[in-house]
Amino acid sequence: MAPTSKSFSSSSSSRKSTLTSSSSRSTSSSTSKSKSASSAPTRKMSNMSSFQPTLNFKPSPSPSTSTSTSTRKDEEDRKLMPPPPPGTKPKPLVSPPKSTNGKGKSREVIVVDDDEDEDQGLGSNGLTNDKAQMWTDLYAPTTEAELAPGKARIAKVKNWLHESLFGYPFDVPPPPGNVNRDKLRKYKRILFLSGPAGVGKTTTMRLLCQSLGVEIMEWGESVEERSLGGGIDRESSISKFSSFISRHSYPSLSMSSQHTSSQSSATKPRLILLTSLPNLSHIPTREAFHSSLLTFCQTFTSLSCPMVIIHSDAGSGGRAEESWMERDRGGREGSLEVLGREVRDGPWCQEIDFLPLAPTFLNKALLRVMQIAIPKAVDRPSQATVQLIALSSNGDLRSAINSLQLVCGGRKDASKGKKRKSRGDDEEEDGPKKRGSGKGSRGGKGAKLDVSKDLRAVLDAVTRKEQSLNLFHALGKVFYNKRLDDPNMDDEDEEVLERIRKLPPEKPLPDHLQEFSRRKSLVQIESFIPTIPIDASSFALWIHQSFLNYCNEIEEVSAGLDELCSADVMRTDDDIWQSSTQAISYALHLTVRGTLMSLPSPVPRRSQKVVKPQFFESFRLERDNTSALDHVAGYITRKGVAAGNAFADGGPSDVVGVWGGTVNKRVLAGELVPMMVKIQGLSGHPLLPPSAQSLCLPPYSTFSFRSNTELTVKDEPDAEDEYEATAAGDDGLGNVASQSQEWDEDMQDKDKEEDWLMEDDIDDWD
Amino acid sequence: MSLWVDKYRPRSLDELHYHPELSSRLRSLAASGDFPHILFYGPSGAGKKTRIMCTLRELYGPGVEKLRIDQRVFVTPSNRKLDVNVVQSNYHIELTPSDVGMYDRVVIQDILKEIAQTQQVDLNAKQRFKVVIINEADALTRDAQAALRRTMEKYMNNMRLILCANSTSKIIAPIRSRCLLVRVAAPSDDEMTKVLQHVAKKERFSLPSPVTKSILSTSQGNLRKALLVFEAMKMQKPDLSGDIEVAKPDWETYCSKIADSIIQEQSAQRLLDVRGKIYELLSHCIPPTVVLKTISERIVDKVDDALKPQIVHWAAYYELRMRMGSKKIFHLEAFIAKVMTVYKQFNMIGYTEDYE
Repeated sequence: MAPTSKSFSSSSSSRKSTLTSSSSRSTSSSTSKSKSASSAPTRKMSNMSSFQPTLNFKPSPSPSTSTSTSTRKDEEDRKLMPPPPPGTKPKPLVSPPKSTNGKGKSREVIVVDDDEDEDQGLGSNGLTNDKAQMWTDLYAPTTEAELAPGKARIAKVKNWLHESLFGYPFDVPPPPGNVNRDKLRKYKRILFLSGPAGVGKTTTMRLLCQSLGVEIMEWGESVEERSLGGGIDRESSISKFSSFISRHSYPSLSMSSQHTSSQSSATKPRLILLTSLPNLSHIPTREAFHSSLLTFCQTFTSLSCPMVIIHSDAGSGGRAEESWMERDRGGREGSLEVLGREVRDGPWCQEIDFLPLAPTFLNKALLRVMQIAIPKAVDRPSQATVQLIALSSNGDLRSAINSLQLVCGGRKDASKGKKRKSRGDDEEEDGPKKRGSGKGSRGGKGAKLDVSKDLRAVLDAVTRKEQSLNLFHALGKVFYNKRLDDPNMDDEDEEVLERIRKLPPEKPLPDHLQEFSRRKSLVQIESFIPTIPIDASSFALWIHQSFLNYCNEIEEVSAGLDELCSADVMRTDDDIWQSSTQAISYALHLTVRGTLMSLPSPVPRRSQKVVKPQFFESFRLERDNTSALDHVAGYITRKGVAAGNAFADGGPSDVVGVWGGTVNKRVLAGELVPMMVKIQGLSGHPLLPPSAQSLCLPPYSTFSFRSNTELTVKDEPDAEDEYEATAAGDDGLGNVASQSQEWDEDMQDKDKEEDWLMEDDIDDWD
Repeated sequence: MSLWVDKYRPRSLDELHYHPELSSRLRSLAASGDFPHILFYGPSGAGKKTRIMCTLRELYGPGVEKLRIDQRVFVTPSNRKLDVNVVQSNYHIELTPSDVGMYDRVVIQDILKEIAQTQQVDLNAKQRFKVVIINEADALTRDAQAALRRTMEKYMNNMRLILCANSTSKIIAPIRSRCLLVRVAAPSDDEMTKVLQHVAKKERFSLPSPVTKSILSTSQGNLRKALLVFEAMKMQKPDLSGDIEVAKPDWETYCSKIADSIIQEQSAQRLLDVRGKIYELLSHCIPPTVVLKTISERIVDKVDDALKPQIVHWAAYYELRMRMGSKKIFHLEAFIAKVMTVYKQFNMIGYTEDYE
């Protein structure tokens, strides 16, 4: 059952890959370089927004009919398709099951994102083997133990699945009776799996479903329908989606289950799986999507099935100079954007976040794949190679396996001649081989591995990923402002020191510029900048938050802040009309160089902590308060208008305030609200709605504002915070929606409590 | 219960306490039947909107006070929905298009077109035209102002505009030349005193002159603020005798405390403390420019004369950068750090280098 349903999604995706393979071949030389985990989602989103493919979900018919329908459908598709480029074999629709293990998983990779298409194309160009199969497909895990993500996370997912399908946790004996089962199931409607690409979200899901005997209903998208022009069903993607959901939340009718001859498919639990989402950056689509999810949550019967949404968000590696604008286009959705507020905050939904895999986990998984793939131990690449791949893949298992396959494929080709020799190199050439590139001597563990230079070069070419430092280390590099001939230089990397010593000495500055002379910095800007793991403006915020602690004198602080200001002014990417990537990169340089310049040298060490910027918290508060302020504005206007009307109707004239009209926000925040709070507190008469509570300033104290979370080595920057930073640079339009919401509430309240506003009052202006 | 500001707000031109020449000019304009587009400008709290409403009442009679709130939905060319709240009567409509940021042009065009194309329905109406009040006209984008300019000529028959702004400098010249400019100056101290005493008389108590003085000095020509402060003080101490603390908004107290602590100590640690306070102010929607201005005013009050020009210079310098940049906190903090540096150096060596 499960495999057949998958065949449908694959039929579209295999077509897709056939299409793309021609283009990917032409670029195949550069593919390896451009393959970075972070760029994949971006590309995907931009594709979607540029031509917005019609989404197409294939209903999964009952098994007996499925094959015939699918073949017919695919025949049609093939007629409509442009002929495949010569040399690429059209893929078999339903690949013959090679083993019971492989077949359940063979397609998952294709569906998840476009990243795979390139790899697929690369594979089919005969780089590796005749079967043109990716190892990610061939050697996908078959048992729960083999799954790469952490045990706890898998157990969580499993538990959720079990609860949502059967109404009780996995490791508990089934409770008697059916009644209380639905009680639990009712609140287990949507599971939201998020995490960077290639950490095994989909794999985990499918494997668990298989082991629980769940039938997966999947919604995929097809690309071609749109380009084929008229005559094709023009139903909008989102209406298709909602009908898909309504169709599949219930088990098939008895009519169709008649066809399912022997199998009792009606009793088989079902599950809706969403891996590709509609174009959520289009606002009407997003609204419709949210509302259909909400309906899905709210309509529960004991027969309806749960939904799993898998959303791979962009990783945080190598995105240092990315602009906010690009990110806006590039699928920066968090769970809020995907699910909508009601669903996410409602009782129906659970989020499980997958983290990038730790190198040890990757290593284990890679070794497993290698053992299956290459039977002879001699042919396998060395342990160190595998480790290096694991380290350089930024926690993306899929790309790690792809790299491994490429490396091994390359080895096989070369094996005729010099394989032995190169393998000999691996073991013999020991000693610290540091990479010349921007890998941090402290942060990148890769530097400590014993791998020969040759192999490293090969791996660089094959698995070239943008190495990014951990945020903690990146900040440390700036804050500690290490310079040549600092005291306590013992733990420094001699090679780096040597190289810096070799640089030609600078000309001494003239006397009047003496204040700008510094010893040579150990931070090599050119290689450091690309390794900053977060975007320029967030990095500036982190620097701003903590660098004061590393200064001795206020003069240094002032100079550093001046540089941050200049960078902030330069970075005009929040201005929609002048967005310029160049400016962002300049701003980043200015931030880093300016801070390094103004910090004292050597930096005092008094166990300073790096803390999370207060900016994010403050910005969130500000946004909340802005909407509270809007609410108050609405309240005051409403009261004023009501009073004015009462007066106009001949009410008592001495008590009413006779003011109708809107209030300026600035006046409201600066004058009216603070004074009204005061007067309200003194008189005891309520003047403001309760929502104004948050607008009162807390008493002035000498204590610090809020306790700050300290950043440690393990922390990853919060994606949500980056989003906040994005919105902060906005022109405030992010608030428009929330503002109108507030007003909506007002209008409803008003209708309830005051009856002077009649329905028909509204339109009688004209 | 309502605030004194609202309760004693004049409702007709006759009740206005100050600027009598302006009132009589407005009255004769309303009577002439040839009512022009008007641009009211003047500082906050000077009585612009009060005068606008009085003028409307003069034009249309008390019917103009029967108001309702309406929510309009506009669709931008990029299919974004905008909700704008308008307050309107049968004779006028009031809106603040700058609320929707850069999409204000859409709002202006749509709403003006709609109003301009419909005739006055009420046959008993005194005027054949309707009035559109546009608040915060100086915050309109250039696009919106250009759109306004076109409609102003085209639909003169059915519609008059009343713009309300703090200053004319951000309003494009074509609009300025098409409007009758009406400057509503801030009331003088005497005029403010008159108003305060009027309110006191209505509330049946007498107003001691030291209280008046302290109110006037805090409110700086802002009558709305003066009345709010007045009411709060009266609440604090009903007999208004002896020493009363002037009831200022909390954020002002905050700012002056921040200024004090800057002068007290100049160190990185102190700047960190101050940063917490600034974040607190910003998160409570106090505009960063106002924070900067208030802090620098307080500091200027307290430092040596030789330093004053420097402080003002840096305040201006960082305010400009703040407008250009996006992270307000950087610039506010840079200003404070700069002031600390300047102050510290001044105290150490007793004089200051010439700035820039």
